[in-house]
Amino acid sequence: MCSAPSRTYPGRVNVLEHLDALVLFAIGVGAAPIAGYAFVHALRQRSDAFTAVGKLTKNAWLGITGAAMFFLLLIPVFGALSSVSYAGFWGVVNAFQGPGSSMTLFWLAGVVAVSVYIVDVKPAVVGVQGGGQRW
Amino acid sequence: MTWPVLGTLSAVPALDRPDLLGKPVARALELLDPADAALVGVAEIDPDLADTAAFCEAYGSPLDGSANCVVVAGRRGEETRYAACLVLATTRADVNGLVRRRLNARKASFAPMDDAVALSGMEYGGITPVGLPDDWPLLVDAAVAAADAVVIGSGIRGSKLALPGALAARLANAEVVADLGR
Repeated sequence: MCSAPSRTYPGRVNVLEHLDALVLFAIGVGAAPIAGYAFVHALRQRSDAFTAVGKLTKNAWLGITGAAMFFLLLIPVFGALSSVSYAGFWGVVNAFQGPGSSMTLFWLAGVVAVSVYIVDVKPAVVGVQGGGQRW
Repeated sequence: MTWPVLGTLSAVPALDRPDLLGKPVARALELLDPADAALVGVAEIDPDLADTAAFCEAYGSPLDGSANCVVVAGRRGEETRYAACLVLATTRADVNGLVRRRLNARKASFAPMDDAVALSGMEYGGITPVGLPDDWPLLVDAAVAAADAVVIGSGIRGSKLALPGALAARLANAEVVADLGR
């Protein structure tokens, strides 16, 4: 009696099988430094610039971008650090799941907040301090 | 005349101590009605404590008794116009709204500190609404105008002026603007 050949190959990983995870990983990794940048940028602006352009206060934006940084950057980084030792590369991928994370809702809210800061608040705040594009 | 808004500092009438005044400031005070000038007090401070928060902390002066003078540059095409805004230290000037419209500018920003210092003839950190260039409007927040007394700069970092808000509101080129400070 012959045994049927096994149809799976233990020890090998088919990357295509994990394409979804890799895509989410790329999104999650891409968003993380942007969130960190937004927070640091807000931190370095003079506080009256925010009021000067009619935005929320500096402290409000520090809170918003700080919370976004927590969900987009800090949680994934610490998750990756704690799981890389036993789960290797796929542990890191799992930590940076971006929109596929266990905290999708907070992650998405963070992305929206950071996007608003980067495209709306930052140019205005930089411009009122004499920076930005000159015509 | 005493100036309790200066906290633990003891002030003297400003014109008695011209050495504690920036040059344009001293000149402007001499041009005031003597009765008005007598309402302005000056007190010597540590120049390292000239920034409002540090000043209030060190000398027990209330934060809402200090007014900040912000120089705004409004641009339209090649032309740049300046204005000064006087708002309480607890509020911030609405530069891109009210001030921009008042200057009829397309774009308004804080004047670069080098420009503000060079054009006003005052020290960085000591810029004050008294003695600014003749062609600068001075926009005074209604809350400043209503204050019994406010602390402002003296043109130098080593002293502060105190004067009634009502007097600040009738300095040269001054106009009182509601809701300037947010």
